[in-house]
Amino acid sequence: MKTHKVVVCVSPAPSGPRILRTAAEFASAEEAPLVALYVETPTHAAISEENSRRLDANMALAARLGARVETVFGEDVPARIAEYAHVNEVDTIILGQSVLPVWKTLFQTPLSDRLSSLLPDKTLMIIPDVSARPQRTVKISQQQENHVLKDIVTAVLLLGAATVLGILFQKAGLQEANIVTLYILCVTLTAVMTSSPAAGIVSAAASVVTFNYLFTEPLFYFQVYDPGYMITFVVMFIAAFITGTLASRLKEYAQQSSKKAFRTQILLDTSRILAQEDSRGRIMEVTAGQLLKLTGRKILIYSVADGVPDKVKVLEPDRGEDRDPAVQGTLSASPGEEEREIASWTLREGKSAGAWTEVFSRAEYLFLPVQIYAHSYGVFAIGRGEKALSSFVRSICDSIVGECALALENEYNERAREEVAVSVKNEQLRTTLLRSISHDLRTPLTSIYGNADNLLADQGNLDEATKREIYLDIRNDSYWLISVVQNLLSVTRLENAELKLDLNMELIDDVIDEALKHTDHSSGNRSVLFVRSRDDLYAEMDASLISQVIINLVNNALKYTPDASVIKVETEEISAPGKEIAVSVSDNGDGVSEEELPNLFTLFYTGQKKAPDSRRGLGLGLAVCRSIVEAHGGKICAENLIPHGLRIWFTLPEKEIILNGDVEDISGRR
Amino acid sequence: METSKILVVEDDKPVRNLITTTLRMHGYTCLEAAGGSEAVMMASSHLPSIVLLDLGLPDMDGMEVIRQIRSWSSMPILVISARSDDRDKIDALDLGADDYITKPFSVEELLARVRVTFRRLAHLQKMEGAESPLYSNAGLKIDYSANTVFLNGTELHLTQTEYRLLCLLAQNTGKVLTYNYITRNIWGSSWENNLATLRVVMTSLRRKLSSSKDSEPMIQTHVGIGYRMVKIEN
Repeated sequence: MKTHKVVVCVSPAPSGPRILRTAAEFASAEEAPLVALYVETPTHAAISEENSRRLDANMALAARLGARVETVFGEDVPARIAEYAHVNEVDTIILGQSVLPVWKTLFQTPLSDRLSSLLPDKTLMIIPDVSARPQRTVKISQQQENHVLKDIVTAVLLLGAATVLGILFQKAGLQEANIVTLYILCVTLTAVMTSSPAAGIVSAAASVVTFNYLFTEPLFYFQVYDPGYMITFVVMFIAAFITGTLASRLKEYAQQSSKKAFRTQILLDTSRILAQEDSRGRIMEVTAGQLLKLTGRKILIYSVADGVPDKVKVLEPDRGEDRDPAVQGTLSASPGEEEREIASWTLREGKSAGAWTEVFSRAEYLFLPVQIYAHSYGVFAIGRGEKALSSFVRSICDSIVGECALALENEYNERAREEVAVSVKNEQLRTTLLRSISHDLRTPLTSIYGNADNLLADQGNLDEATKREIYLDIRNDSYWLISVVQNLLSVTRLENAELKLDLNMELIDDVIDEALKHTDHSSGNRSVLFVRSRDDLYAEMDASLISQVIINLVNNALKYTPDASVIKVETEEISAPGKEIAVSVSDNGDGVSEEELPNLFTLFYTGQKKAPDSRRGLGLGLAVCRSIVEAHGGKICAENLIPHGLRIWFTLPEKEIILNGDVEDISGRR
Repeated sequence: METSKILVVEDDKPVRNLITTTLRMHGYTCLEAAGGSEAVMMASSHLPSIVLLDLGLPDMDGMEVIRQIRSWSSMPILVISARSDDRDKIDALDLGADDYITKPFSVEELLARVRVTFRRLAHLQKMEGAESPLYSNAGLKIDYSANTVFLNGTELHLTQTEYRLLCLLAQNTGKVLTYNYITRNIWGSSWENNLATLRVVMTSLRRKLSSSKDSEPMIQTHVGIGYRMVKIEN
């Protein structure tokens, strides 16, 4: 299915909110994502403060209405919009447009006409706007007054310098054309060195007047005798004006492109760094680092668990290192309940909140949700600081957070893919297990069932020896079933949750004693020997699982060794590298071939060799042993013995017990 | 044996048949019940010596049966559990059951448990009436009034905790005491750390009690469950 996309063009016009709301309503009716697009032109820096404030307000409103705010750069507004619409496969473009006076349409093609000619296949919605007369009046603020003063001084000084040089030129008998060129240079320099675009024009006019006053007959009068000079003045003014305007335009371009380069650089950096991280926490931290670098303010990172803010991390500008909010002391404005509440609101609504927004505007932080499609991954909060963030920095912040959301989304998808792969593998394993079990359970069951039938149908034909053999078969087959079921239970327990091991401090000797009670005692005249060494070896373990390991090892040894073999169970303490307990089960049977050794612990590996008594093997026992031992943080190994025999040993981390003072003798009580 | 009447509570008929046949073959008298309420009723009307109780009953939870019987009687209850989860056994023991046996069990195992319980019963009857300050089991002698312990005639030097642990086990000879029960009785709480301490105390107590290597250990470990002092016949 093709998803619709609606783009609304944001402008500083006072009617902006109306257009945005209309667009939001339309987008929600269409169930389409809304993008608020602002085309930043090179004259952006020159727009009045009021317009700039309105633009920020409109952008904030767009974000609140659920639109993704994006900014593109370029002088040709319709071309940029068309390019964006084309690249992003936008279906509908909504824009507000002022109704131009008839005479203006002669010189200026309306935006909508240009757009419709550029994008013939898109839907264009125009919201007429009578009041949207771009505000040109420059309101002079205190700060700007300073700029104007500075500009005037610069212009006057340059003009003075040009005049002095002009006088010198005149004294030197150079031609007037040189002086004119000098003034044009002066205007160009003025345009470059001042911030007001008007300075160039004023300077051009002043140059003409000064030239007239000082260098043309009659001198020191604003008159000319030679009417040819009028043409000189006009040409001089036009030349000065054009070069001046070009120069100031150039300067604006330079500023614009440096801003653009900065923005591109920081976003590139972010995505490059993010690409290297693959854990959720690290991605959030790295993003916060980038935000800190950009804004120089305190950043809070809220991670998410079950849709609510979970943990919070604080990134301080001065240190730039992670610190736990709990250790910040009482004086520091560590994030509290209020912040958490706003963060959870931000998360719930998927909109930014806090400082400089309309929701929780008194908060100390600006809260930005890390959100993509319907997934919320967390919240970043940027400290209020002394000054409000400019819309330029805000938009970069939004982009960085967007990058972060994208990276988290990728990470999430990656993990989901891995989980699917693992579950598919588990599913395969389970199928193999089931097939193998149903076969291996059916065989002894058939034998028990058949033997019981035989005994029931017996009319006294079976002699005592045969009967005894049948009884023995029933008993052995039942025992085999019991051990299979035990192993299956262990497998299920391990599979369900590895972390649900019921860990307890156990004396290893006790566990071995317990296990040996459950081994198959009916195995001819093979003997099992428990060689006790120390009676104080403790390990943290799930006793029932570890005893299952010992049962499996001993039963295996009983099954695969020739008659009259001796099976030894031993314990040993290994002190290097860490303290561990090794439990080994060794026999003096035939051992296994060297190439079979590494496969012993593989699931369903039954080996080439037939058990001496031809009993079935599931290939489950040793694999279960390995899973259990590894879940306990130990390892299991097998080795052939010289001259013959097999030794399998496994290790468990040893646990030493610190006793809380119990040395007093009871005689002391008397 | 007139008094060796055993109530077998088990809903699965083949298993009940197996148990009753085995017990009858060894001279015990058996009563049968297939449900929890029937079991409670029979226990009060027939006053059996021992109750063999399966925990998974159709009409009533086995735990509830223990609770009801314990409300008026201290007759030994042997729990039969098909669940390999230790938690059930521990809960049953903490509720007042005396011992447990896990399905699948062998016939010998069943008989051994029943014998141990009868021995404990006999021991309790002997002790009845005379509140003896002296305890003896094989070579072990405890004089509660003097706080002294003798093994084969020589006095043992035990720490306070070892002594309290030994007394606790001796007073409950034949009964499986859960770790929880022991730590609560000795330290007043059942913290994780106490369990570790209990292991160490038990190890050192066993060292002091083991006079001869080959003899049957007096204190059994039930891995994952608890300890039990067994009565050793001379």
